[in-house]
Amino acid sequence: MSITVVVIDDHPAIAAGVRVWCASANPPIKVVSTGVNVRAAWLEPGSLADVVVFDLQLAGGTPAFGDLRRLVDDGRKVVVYTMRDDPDTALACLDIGASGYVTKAEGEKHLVGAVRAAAHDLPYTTPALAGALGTDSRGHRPKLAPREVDVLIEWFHCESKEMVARKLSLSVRTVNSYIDRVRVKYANAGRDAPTKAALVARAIQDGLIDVSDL
Amino acid sequence: MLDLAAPATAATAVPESTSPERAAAHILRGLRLAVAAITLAVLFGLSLPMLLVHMGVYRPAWVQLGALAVFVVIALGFGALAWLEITPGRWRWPLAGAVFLVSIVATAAVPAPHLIGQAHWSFGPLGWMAVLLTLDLGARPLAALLVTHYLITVGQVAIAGQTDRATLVGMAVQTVIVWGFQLAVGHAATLLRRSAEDAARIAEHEEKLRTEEAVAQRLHAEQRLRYTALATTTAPLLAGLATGALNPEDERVRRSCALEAARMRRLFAEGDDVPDPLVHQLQACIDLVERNGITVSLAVRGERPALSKQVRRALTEPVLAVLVATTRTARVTVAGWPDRVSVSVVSDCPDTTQVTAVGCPGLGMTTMTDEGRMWVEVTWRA
Repeated sequence: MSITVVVIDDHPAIAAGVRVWCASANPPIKVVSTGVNVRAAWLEPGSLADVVVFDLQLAGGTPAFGDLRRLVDDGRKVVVYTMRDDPDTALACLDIGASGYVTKAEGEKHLVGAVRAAAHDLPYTTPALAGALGTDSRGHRPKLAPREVDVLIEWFHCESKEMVARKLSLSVRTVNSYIDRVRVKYANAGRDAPTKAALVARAIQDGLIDVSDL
Repeated sequence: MLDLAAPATAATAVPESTSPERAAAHILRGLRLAVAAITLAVLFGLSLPMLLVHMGVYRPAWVQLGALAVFVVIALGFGALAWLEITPGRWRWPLAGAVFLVSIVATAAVPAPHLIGQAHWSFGPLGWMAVLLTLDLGARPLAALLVTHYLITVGQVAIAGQTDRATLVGMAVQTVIVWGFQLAVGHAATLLRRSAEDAARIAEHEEKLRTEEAVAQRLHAEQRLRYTALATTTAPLLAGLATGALNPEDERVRRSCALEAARMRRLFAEGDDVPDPLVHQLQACIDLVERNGITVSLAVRGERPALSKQVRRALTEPVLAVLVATTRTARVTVAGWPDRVSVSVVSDCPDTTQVTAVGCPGLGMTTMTDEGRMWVEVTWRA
């Protein structure tokens, strides 16, 4: 059964673009509903969708962290899809419990991957998000190993896991696991949310991270 | 366009300004102390013996002792002010009034035949009190006080009915003798103060000139430094184009021109007063290449320490070289920590693009090519 998505975005071209990317994905992802505001995610058929693709700044206003929190607290898997490229917003969304954070500049390469990962409670970190995690200097940030920071920053700089692997003399698989482990550490930090718990549980189950590492 | 990161020379620091008045007060200190000492010497060496000898004459005697005590206290007070280099303020005039009052009372207590004689001890010292009161003002206020004193005394002598010729002549002679000293001191103080103020003013002016000269030298050095930065790269290129030695149709020449244009753009951005100079300089270069139809994305993460101009140049130079060689798209990223900054560019430039690191302490550069893309990362560690 294919993954289903509801797209919340006030710009029809964005919703149409997401629909095209989802349809051409392999296997395809089904967009069951689109809406200009968050109501579409709460009403059928949007309320039954596996993943919510959510524009954080509807109608150019302030970031809708409240709407995001209500969706997450209801157990919805939300991929924030936004124009905002600032690290503070990205970190705030992760803390609330967003499953993914993709800037619109990265959409073509990463949105489908982020949606798929969110549907399966898997971590997904785009280069822009990796940059925010690798330079996070807030007091309550999770503790990262130096190597993890290196991998995040090289991924932020070059957007190619192959080049990161070559530069740091690692395998692509190891690069992925470093990036994913950081994302799980962040899911384990701060505010409790069902989506964050599910991400951590899945990571432990898959052997990506050990309970003692958290 | 001063480089704030460079150590400031002493000459550019604003000199601690000393006002001419302060300098004059400093120089006058010795003279004020000397006058206080003279006054005390007169009071104890001349007035006190005369007073003690004629104790039986006064009506009453304690008034004279009280008057002497007041004069001594005032003279000591002025000595202390001179020592601390404090100039008497407006309260000198009420004090002058008090001194005159004391003098009038003391004179009134000297009975008729003894006025303007040895028993009338307070006539001379009052002049010295007047010198103390007006030393920092010049000779004219002093003369005014002395004349007032003279007129008051003449009045008191007349009231006492002692207007015989001997008294008036004696008074005139004493006045001339004593005033001679006192006015000379007052005038000396005026001259001294004037020359001190002139000296201080000249020193201040010279200091200002020196500062201006140092600033001008510094600006000139900055301009020369900037020109030197261009002279080694831009000037030969321009000369080559002018003489025809370089062919503008050659792709390499065109790329060199683009690189020089970007360098100049960065140089202009260097002096701008902006909160984030590194990103500002990168942005200036990105603007330039974007005009040629190239798409550049810029992402900045983390907080950076303040970077010197040298470090900023070293961090941006390889990025410039890659940007000007970019065919269609490039991605510039900046990541910062309190002790480390990395600047990176990923571009579809030809893999023959020459990228050289600028020599700078703490700087490292890595270059990697992969599937038609070039990745250059420059890292600086504190």
